[in-house]
Amino acid sequence: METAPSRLPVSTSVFEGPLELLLALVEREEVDIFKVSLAKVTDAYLAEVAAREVADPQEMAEFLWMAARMLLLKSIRLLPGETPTDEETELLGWEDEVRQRLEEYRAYKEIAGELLERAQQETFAFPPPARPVEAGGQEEPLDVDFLVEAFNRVLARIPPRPLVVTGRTWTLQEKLDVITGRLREGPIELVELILESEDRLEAVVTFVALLELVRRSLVRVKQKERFGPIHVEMREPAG
Amino acid sequence: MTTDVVAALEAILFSSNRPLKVRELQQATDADRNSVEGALEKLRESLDGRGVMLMRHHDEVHLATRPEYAGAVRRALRPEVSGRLSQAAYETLAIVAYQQPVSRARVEEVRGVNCESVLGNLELRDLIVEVGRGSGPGQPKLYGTTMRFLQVMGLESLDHLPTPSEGAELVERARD
Repeated sequence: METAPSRLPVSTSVFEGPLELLLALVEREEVDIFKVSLAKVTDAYLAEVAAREVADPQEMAEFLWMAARMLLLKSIRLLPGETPTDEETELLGWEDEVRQRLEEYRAYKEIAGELLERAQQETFAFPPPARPVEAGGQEEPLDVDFLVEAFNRVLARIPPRPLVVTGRTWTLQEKLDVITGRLREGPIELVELILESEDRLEAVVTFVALLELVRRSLVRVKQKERFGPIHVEMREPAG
Repeated sequence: MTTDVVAALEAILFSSNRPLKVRELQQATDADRNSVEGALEKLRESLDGRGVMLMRHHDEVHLATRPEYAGAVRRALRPEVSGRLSQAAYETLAIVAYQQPVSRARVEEVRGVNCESVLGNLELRDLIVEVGRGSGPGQPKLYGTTMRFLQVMGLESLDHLPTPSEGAELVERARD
C-alpha cells in the first residue's frame, strides 16, 4: 500500500546468510530497523531466495527457514481479528528478536567496514624485524624431543584431509628427495616446511623424512633459543 | 631508578623481534609489576609524536612503527605484504575483537552463518588465537585477537578500536 514492492529489490550480490540478505532489504525500506515490519519485506526476501542458485543445501535451508517464518508472520498480520494462538504470539516475539539481531549485525558490519578501510590505507605498524640466523655453528646440537614438540605444535594447525578429496600419497623416499632438493637451495624454517603440507598425512611423512635425514647425518637442525624458530640446513659433505 | 627501567625497557623492546609479556620485562629489569607498568606508561608518553610507538595487547607489549609512516617504511624497505582478507573475515574479526573471549557459536549467532572456516583461516594467519575454553557444554574454544591483529590494523591497543557511530551501546551490552 504505502510501499510499492518495486522499491524493495536489492541489487543482487551474494549474500552470505539470511541475516545479511534481510539486513540489505530492511535498510532499503527504512533507516531505523526497529520500525520495519518483517512482514513488509517478506515478498522481496522470497524473491531473492527464489532467484538463488542452490549451491549449498544447508545454507539454502537457513534461507528457507527464515522465509517460512516471515511468510507465516505476514499471514498473521494480514488476517487480523482472531485471538493469536500460542504459536502466533511466539512468532510476534520472534520478529523483535530478529530485529535486534539485525541491529547487532549491522553494528558489526559497520565496524568491519572501518577495519577494512584502515587495512586499505597502509596503516601497518611494523614491529622490529626478525633477525637472520647466522649459518655458523652457534647452536648446541638439538635434542630430538624438541623437534617432536615443535612438530606437534605445527601439526595441530594443519587441517585433516577433507573426506571427499583423494589426496596424493607420499612415500618416504619421495619426501626425502623433495626435502634434500629444497635444502640445496638454502636453509628452511621447520614450521614453514611442515605448513606447506596439504594435510596431516603429508605433514607426518615430511617430519619422518626429516628425522631420517637427521639420522643419516645429512642435515643439521638449529635453534637459537628455546621455543624459537627451528632451522634446517644441509650438512656439507664430510671431508 | 624508574628512568633506568624506562630506558632498559626501551632497549629490550627495541631489540626483541617478538612481543614480550610484562612478567618477562619484570624478570629482565628486576623490577616489580607496578614499576614496570609505570615505566611502560612513561615510555608510551615519551614516544608520543615519534616514529615508533608502544603497542599493548592484553599482557603483551612491543614496539612498532606508527601507522602514519607505514607508507614511508614500505617505500624504503619493501617488507612482505600480508594477504588480503574477505568481507566475511573482517566481520568475523570485528566480532572477535569486540567480544573476546568469544566462542564460535556466538560469532555464528551474530553473523547468522557458519563461521568455522573463516575462524580457521584467521587463526592460521595469526590474527586470532584460542585464548581459553568456555564453561558451557562441550567447553567450546574461545577466541581472542593477537598482537599481529593490532599490527595489521595499525592500532596501539584494543582501546583504539574504532567506535561504531550507532549501535555501540548494543555491542557494549553484548559483552556481558
